Amino acid sequence: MNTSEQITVIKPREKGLHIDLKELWRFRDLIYLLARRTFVAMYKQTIIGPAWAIIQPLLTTGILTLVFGRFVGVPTDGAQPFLFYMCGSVPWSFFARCLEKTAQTFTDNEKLFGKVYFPRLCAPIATVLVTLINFAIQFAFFLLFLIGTNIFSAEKIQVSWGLVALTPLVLIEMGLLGLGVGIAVSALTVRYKDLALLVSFGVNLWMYISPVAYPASVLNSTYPALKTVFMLNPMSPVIEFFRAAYLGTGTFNAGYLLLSAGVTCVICFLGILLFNRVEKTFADVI
Amino acid sequence: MRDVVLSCENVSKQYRMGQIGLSTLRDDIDGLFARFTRKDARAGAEGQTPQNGKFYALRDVSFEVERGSAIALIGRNGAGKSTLLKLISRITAPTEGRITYKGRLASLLEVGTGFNPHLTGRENVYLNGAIMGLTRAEISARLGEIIEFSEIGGFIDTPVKRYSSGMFVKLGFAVAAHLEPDILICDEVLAVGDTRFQEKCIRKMSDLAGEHTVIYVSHNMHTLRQLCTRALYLEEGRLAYAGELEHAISLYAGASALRDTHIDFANVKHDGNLGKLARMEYLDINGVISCEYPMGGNISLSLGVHALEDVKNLRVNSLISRAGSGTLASSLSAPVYTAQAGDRTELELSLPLGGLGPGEYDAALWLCFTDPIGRMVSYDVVPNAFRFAVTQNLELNEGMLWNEKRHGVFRLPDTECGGKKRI
Repeated sequence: MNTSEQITVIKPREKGLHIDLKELWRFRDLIYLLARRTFVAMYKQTIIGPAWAIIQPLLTTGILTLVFGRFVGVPTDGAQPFLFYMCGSVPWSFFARCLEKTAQTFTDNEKLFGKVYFPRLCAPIATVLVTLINFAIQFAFFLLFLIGTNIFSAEKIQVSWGLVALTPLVLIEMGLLGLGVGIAVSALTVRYKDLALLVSFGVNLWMYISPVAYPASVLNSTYPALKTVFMLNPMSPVIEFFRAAYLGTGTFNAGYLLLSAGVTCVICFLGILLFNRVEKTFADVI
Repeated sequence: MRDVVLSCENVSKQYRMGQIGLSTLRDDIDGLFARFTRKDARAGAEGQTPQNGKFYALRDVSFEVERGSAIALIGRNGAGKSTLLKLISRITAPTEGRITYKGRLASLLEVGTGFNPHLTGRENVYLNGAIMGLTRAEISARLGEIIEFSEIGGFIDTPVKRYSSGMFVKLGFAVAAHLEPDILICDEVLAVGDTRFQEKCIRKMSDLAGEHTVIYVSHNMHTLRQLCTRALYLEEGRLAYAGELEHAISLYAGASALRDTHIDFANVKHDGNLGKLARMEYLDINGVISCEYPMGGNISLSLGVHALEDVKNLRVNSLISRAGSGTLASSLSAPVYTAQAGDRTELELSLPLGGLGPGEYDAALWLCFTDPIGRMVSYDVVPNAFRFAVTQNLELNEGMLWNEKRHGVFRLPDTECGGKKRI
């Protein structure tokens, strides 16, 4: 008989971290198809389809510009306000959507998980990929605005190309951070339904402690001592990074970005740990 | 050599009784406090309230499944069938024990799981295939066959939400069956489709069995008989029997289990003149514990007979039948019994089973006399004298599993080839 045949052993739930990367790799086609399924299902029978992806950040940016830029008069480190807010809100919404969507992993896939086996991590990874597509559309739009401004305005924007090259790495970091927090929440919501209600609320609060609607430099002048604590929020250096890379403004510091990457790794690790604990027996609980 | 593709070793699954999953953070915090403050009180209460207790949906289940077999999983509702399938399909983890399987396993616990209503049939085939662990290229290679089998035709590019429930089931089954898993698990999924399609599915599954392994759950004994040769019978979470399908069915149907090896005929009612001249009193079935014989085996019997009058040249006739069917076969002894009034004799009998195929049978015993003109005169009859089972005999059947659906109930003596000539 075929001796190369794979042998699967099913054992009781164990403590500790189990992440079978080889198995995930074998199921890469599933990740692709799950992402495709979500994407297609999301825009089927809508009139303007993926164009919805653009409207949402445009409105958000418009409101932010109006309220914070015009009414409140928050400084933008000298950047053009609309670009400044868009540069913050587009990456932020990528992260926020990763978090919110992966936080629903178990509730959204209850039926599927209850009937067939596949590595459960496929589902949140696919979610992050779909969100990434949305982000790409939005970011392309941001770049259009950026190029447009550069052509039509007198002041030229100092794009720092060295940092721009790092964008993919930062995107991976954001994805992992959203995934880590999201799957941790999703694992906890299996037992504590209350948490599901807190997610969007929590994400909102998180946005206010991240430099989305204001630059981090605001803190420098008013509360310099708080700066380090503020930068412990892994999203702060990330958004500052985007502003520094594409608009040439802000207080970007490579050390803080590394710290943010470190925090992300820890959160992601904890997330997978919690996810592991739940995935094997969640069908009994939900 | 035995090629085991799936083995369960001492598998148990424990569930907690009461409300699981409805807990909120507060409950758990309360529980945590209770553990510190009222530790003893709680421990005492737990033993008395079964609602908060634990129960085993499966307990210490061990079995092995060989490659190419078609296994029926039988049991009443709540016996643990679904739990067992869930454990094997890795939907939930066992509490104790371990399960090992070789190759790819596909489970159809519900047809069309993973189908997304908004996607077309084609897209869903790919998605479902990927869930079962295939790559896109492997699915593309089988797509034609799947579409043909499912009889979906032109609807393959229509979103499945517009499918009728029958089409949904057909496509779902077609996908699972054509992905050629090493082990296919089906949980009564065929109950939905029309009869013709059901039969098509069963044919497909029996084609798969042989090379692949099929585990099928159904309450429909007819379907099981068509498909399976062996069975696992679960009773209250324990594996009560693993072996021949017919025996498992009779256990499930609540029929008496294989009887004692010593059978007293004192309580057998005799009609008319039966039992007045000579009477069968008891039967010992020798050399076995379970009354299971490999195909082609011999049943060794000791029959106690009491002659009430002088009798001469009586023979013992064994009539073999099966629940729900008439007599399938008979075996006659030579005229062996001659006795004087009052004699008590024990006859040593050997009943060869010949080509009787695997299954469970009932045997009736007749004590009779053939008169000079060939008529059979009965002296005594015991209708359901004993029950026995015939099991597979790979040696006799040249390594072939006897499949009643394909080969019938009886294997006739081999066809002989008297000579060859060139034509």
